[in-house]
Amino acid sequence: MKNDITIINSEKKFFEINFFELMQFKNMIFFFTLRDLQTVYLQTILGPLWLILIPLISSSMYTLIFGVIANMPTDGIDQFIFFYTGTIFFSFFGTNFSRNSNLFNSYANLMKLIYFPRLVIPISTFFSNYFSLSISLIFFMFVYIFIFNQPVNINFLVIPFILIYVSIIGCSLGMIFSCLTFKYKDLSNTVGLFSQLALYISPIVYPVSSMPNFLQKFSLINPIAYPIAFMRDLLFEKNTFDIFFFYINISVGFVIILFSYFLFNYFSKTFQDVV
Amino acid sequence: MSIKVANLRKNYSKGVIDIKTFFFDLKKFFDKSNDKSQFTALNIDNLNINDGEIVGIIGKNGAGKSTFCKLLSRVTTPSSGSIILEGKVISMLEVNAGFHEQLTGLQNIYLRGSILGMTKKEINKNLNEIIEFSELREFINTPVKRYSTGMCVKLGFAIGLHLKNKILICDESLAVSDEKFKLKCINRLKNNYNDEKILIFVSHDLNLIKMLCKRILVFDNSKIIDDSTDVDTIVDKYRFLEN
Repeated sequence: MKNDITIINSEKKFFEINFFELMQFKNMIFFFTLRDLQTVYLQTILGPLWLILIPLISSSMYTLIFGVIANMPTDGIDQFIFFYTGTIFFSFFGTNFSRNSNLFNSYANLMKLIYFPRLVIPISTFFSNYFSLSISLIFFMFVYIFIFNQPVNINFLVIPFILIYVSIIGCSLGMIFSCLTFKYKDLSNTVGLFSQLALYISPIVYPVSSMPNFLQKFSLINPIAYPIAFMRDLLFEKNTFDIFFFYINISVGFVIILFSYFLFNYFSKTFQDVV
Repeated sequence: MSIKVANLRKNYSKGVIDIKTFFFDLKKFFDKSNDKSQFTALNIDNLNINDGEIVGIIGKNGAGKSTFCKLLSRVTTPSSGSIILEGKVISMLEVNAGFHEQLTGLQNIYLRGSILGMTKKEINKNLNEIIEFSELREFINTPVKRYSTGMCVKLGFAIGLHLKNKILICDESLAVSDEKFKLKCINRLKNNYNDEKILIFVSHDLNLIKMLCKRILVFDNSKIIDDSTDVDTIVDKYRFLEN
């Protein structure tokens, strides 16, 4: 039996990295992911079928309101596929954000009794969400290729990786939100609202060309705006933005991810006595 | 393995600190002199636990036993002082922690085993033994939400006893089980135990402590008032604490 020496003391650093410790808990991450996926099917009426139905229903809703009734421009792309694309890509952000936004409250019991690096929970929700949402992504590609007969390009292989980035942004903003909802309980009611806000501020239900000037400037620091617009451009062979601004946007995204990592770790050490 | 404790203090804040409105927090941020009174839950100057000891901890409610266990299992951080631990700590502060209600007993064995640090291979190797020990073979495929409290404790303890534990901390985990299961657990703990492990056992049941432990720490009012290996005299002397 190996003897690891642990020193427990009262110092609380903000910039602390515990990546190696996380690797020791990879079993826990695996079983938590498995548990998330298993509970999707238990005592449900449609179970995994919702993963395909919900994006279809919400994109039909957007097509009706923004497409048919309001007749908003979609940059020349067929309306239903435009909104369906936006919905699928945004769901990678939205699901991660909402599932990670109340962690300290929902896992308070577990955190009070067992020691584990708190980052295990957002990581396991990232994996389980990515797995479930990939199913809806695959169905979407199926509809895109066979029903709408759009051309396929080798560049499409980049899309799953950009979606990993979008998911991680969702987890990071969710983790920052967790810290806030723990201190101020009313914020947990506003998660849906913030999610909707993110949806309408980013060029998801409208093309980049329809964005007013101030919103285009804001898109620089909106971490999901550029990746989603970029993926949409890949699919529909358009070219709506500048690669230079894309790099700035990704840097902003990485700063957000790092900040959420340190904040979450620091907060999980200091909150445990006041839960 | 050993545990060395030096100048350990743990304070808790009394009152409704940190959970008021935003404006209160803002005011407090600028006015740090408003620090409310602190309640000292634990105050240990020096403590050494060496390999191969089975330590029993007794004391009144509120003496600091659970705080000590929580600090050892790293669930909370000390206000000052330090603990140096050699080896991996497995704490059974509550046997049901980590159980997900909707999943079956079998799935929960894997889940809780992984929370306590077992790999899938280790769990598979010990699976039959765990199910045998918990006496729940016919219920192992029912969701845990339908188990009685006793059954949950049996399952949790069965998982805990089969770990490759180095330092094991049991904090009043046997309070709700029946005599037969308590004796079974104590015997298993004694058999599992060898010269390289440390077992820390907190309980209010003095008979169990007498049967199992070789060294007793008596907690009272956040301090350790007695520390001895003469189990029988200590237990009789402090029996009044439990009355």
